[in-house]
This record gives sequence, structure tokens and C-alpha cells, in this order.
Amino acid sequence: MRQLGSLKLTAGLITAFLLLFLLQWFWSAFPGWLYIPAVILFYGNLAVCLFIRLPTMYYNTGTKAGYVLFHGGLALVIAGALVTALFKWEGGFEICPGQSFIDSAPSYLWGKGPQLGQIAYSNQGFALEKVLLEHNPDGSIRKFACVTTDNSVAQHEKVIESNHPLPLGKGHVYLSNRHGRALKFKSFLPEGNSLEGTVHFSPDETVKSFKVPGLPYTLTAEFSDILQNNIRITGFPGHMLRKKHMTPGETIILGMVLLKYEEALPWVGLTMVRDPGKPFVYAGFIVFCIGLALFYIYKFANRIQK
Amino acid sequence: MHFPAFYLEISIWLVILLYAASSVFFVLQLNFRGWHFDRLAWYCALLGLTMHAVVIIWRWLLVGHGPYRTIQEILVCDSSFIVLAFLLAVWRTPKLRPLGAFVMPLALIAMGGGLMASHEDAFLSPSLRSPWLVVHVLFAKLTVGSIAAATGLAAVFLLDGSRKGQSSFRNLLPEPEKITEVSLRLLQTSFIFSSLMIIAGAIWANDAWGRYWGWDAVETWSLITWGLYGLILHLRLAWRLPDRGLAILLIFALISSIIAFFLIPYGLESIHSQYFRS
Repeated sequence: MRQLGSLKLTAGLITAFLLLFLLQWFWSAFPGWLYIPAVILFYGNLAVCLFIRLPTMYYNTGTKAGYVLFHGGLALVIAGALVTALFKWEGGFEICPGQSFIDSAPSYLWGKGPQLGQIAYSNQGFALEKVLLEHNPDGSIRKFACVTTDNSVAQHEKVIESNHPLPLGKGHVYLSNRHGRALKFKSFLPEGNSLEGTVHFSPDETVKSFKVPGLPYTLTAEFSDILQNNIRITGFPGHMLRKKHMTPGETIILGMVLLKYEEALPWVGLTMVRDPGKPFVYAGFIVFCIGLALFYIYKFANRIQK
Repeated sequence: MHFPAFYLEISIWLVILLYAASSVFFVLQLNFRGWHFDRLAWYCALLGLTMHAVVIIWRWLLVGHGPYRTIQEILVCDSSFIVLAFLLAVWRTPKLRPLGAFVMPLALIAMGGGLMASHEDAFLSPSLRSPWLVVHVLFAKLTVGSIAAATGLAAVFLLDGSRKGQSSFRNLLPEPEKITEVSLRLLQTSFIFSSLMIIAGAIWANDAWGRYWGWDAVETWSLITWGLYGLILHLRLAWRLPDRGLAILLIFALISSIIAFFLIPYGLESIHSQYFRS
């Protein structure tokens, strides 16, 4: 049992994990046959280590540095949280494959920003183009790929995956859990011109009302299966249309207007975040852990001295 | 049933059998002290825990994910951490062995509850597929194991204190000061694990959602529980909280942990729900 609580074993395992991480093997090793026993050994080692080495009373001179760092780390975390609360900037937008997003365009944002509670633009000079999406079996988005332009400098293809945000401008772009289908409609007006409109469906939304582009009519679209493109349209004043099943490419006549259900595209929600408080919080975590480690190092050094 | 799955099932029942035998021997020891049932109980618990660890790793390899997805996996795994915390405490202070009469049945109930719970596996959302899941969840399990063991000791301290004079049970236990020391040590351990759990969760949340803290119900209750652990430690170490006060506060710490780790995640709608209800 004492061997399991060895600090040498702790140091060895941390070095091994760090080495795997630096050599980029960590992600492929997780969760491999070697990773699982190693991680369980690490937790066992930590549990025994903590239990046998932590002094019951640690308010003495030798561990003062640890005590100060431990609480200093907490203070740093709180300071970072304050910076976040005051200066964090966050917004989101929805995008379909093939679409472009230019951050200075008035196409988004919600949430906090320079203009609190209002529509705001990040305006940091970047764009996402040639968007491609990869799906999971349940329809959620596994991978988002695009070509980026950062401050007028064209970048190569960039990928955003869950837990792997893309650094852009002064912030990061995250793949959010929001996704669904965007129904594209086109109205052909009697004057000869046409207007386009899009209705965004989420997996938990089956029914949604939308305004017919260019007309004061409201229709209700019903999506029975988010993975199927067929919809059911209901509504329209004057009872000219009660219910109609539509597949992409089909049209219906609403008074003098021809409405075409063009296509159903998948959409994904992206979140843009800029958080100047994060480095302070992370620094606080590190200082906190160093403070914690000092209690043990002191105890270990004491044992060696004896 | 697949061939390995069949043997896995047998192994789980063997672990239950060993824990049950250990519980029986620990209870027998309370009444038949000369018969050394406690040694048998100790070896059964140790063998059961070793087998339990093997079962957890085996299942992990078989299904491709750790014991943190279904309520069955969570309870079966948490019971191993309760036994681990108890064995560690006994290894450090052998006189705590009679407490096995309380701890081992508790682990057995957790195992049984887990086996009766739903074991339907579900699709794991992309943001949950991260190595941080293992780090975050295992630290949470270690926190639960440590605080459960600390509170078990606190309860024994309180029960023992309420008895007048000498009792046969009193003679089996170590001095009250020793029980307090070990429970304090376990509280410190759970405080550290709880800190590391919150740090790992914050880093992961930042990678997945772009924020390290969201005042979500689960996050808020974890912070309350962590704060309570810290408060008890400071009351004891800085303001010399009496042993009885420490024992009473440890029971509140366990209640807070149960709320944070079991009631809130399953009872309230939160961003953590997609994990707990997946």
C-alpha cells in the first residue's frame, strides 16, 4: 500500500501523461487499453498519497508558503471571475453548409457584448466561408470545417469540433450543441420578382410558424422527423390551404403568389467568446495546485530529513 | 448474452458475494470477538475490492467508456470508492475495523441499488466525449467516497458519545480522538478532490462551451458543498471546533454532497442534465 502512495510514482505518472500529451499521443491513447489501467493507478496513487501524507494540522511555519499560495490561488480565481463578469464578450450565430459568415455583418449576435442587451457585432475582421458539416447518427454536428479569413489574411481550412474551439481574432469560436434544419422558401410574386426566407428548426421543435416572404400571411410548418426533409404546411387565411405535405422542390399557390419549398439544409450554432478573465482564472488554478503540492513536498522533505 | 458479458455478470455477482460475506463477518465480530471474524471480513473486503476494480476495468474495455454514463455504472463504481476509503482508513488505523459492520452493508446496498437501476446505454453528446470526463467524474467519485467514509466515522463518534459508561461496542473502537483525526483527514482528502473536480470541470466547460463557470444548478451546489468542506476545515483548524461539532457538521457536509451529486443532477433541469439523463 505504501508503494501505491509513493511520490515517485506520482511524478512518474504525471511525466508519462505530460509526455504523451506533448507528443500528441494522448488523444489517440484515450481511451486505450494502456490508458485505463494507467489512469486508475494514478487515481489510486493520488488517493493513498493524499490520505497518508496530508498533515492533520498544517498551520505551521514549514507549510506557510503552501498556505499562502493555496489561498492566493483562490484570490486570483475570484479576481479573474470579476474580470470575466465585467469584460467578457459572447455571442452566437447559426450557419448552413455553403454559407459565409462575416463578423461585421448584422447577421447575429445575442448575449453580452460591447452594447449590453442589444444586437452587437464582433467586428474583429474575420470571416468563415465554404462551410462544411459532418453529422453524428442522431443528426447533431460532429465537425465544422470552413475556410477562414482573419484580418484580410486568408487562412487554410480550419476545423471546429466539440471541445476544440478555433482561435479567431481576439476570441474563440465554439461549436455549440444547437443544430437543426433550415427550410428555405422562395416566393414568386405577381410582379415577376422573388423573395427568399428561411425557417430554422431545432430537433426539439416539431412545429413552427413563419411569414411567407413578401406576403402578410403566416403559415405553420410541421417537421415530423428532423432527419427527413418532408414537411407539412398548414394555415393560410380564407381556407385555401389547410394541410399540404411538401417535399423539397414542390410548390403551392397562395392567392397570387407561388411559394416554393426549395430545400432543407442542416444548420449549426456557433458561439463566439472573448474572455479576458480566463488567463487569471487558469493562473489561479495553477497557483492553487502548487500551494496544495507544497503541503506534501514539505511533509515529504520532513520525512527524508528524519 | 455475449461470452465475455456473461463472465462479467458472474464476476459482479462474485463481488457482491464477497462484500456480503465481509458484511456478515464484520457483524459477527461485534458479538463473537474471540473468533477473529474481522480478519476474514477484511480479506473478503480486500478480495472483493480487487475483483471490483478488475470488473470496472474489464467493463470499461468491453463497452468502450468508463463507469460514468448510466445510473447502474455510477452506483456500482461509487460503492467501490466507499470500500476503498474504508480500507484505507482501516489500513491506517486498524482499530477502525469494526466500522466495517456499517460501511460494508452500505457498499452492498449501493451495489444492489445499482444493479436494479436501469442500465440502458444512450448516445453521448459530442461535448461529453472528452478525456476531461474521466478526470472530472473520477474526482467526483473520490470526493463522494471520502466524505461518505468521514461521515460514517462521525456518526459512530456521535453514537458512541451518546452511550453512558463502557459498552462492548465501545471497547472495539479506537479512542474518540483517533476517530476524529481520521474523519478530519478524510474531510481534507474530499476537500482536495472536490477542488480538483471543480477545476477539471471548469477547464472542460471552457473547452466545450466557452465559459468556465455558468452558475448552473449542479455547479452552484458543487461550489456550496466545496465551501462547506472548507468552512468545516477552517472552523476546526483555526477556531478549534470541538469534536462533537465537527461530527455534526460532517453529517451536513454529506447531506450537501448527496444533494449536489445525486438529487440536483437528476431532479433539476440544467446543462448537466444531458449527461445525467442521457
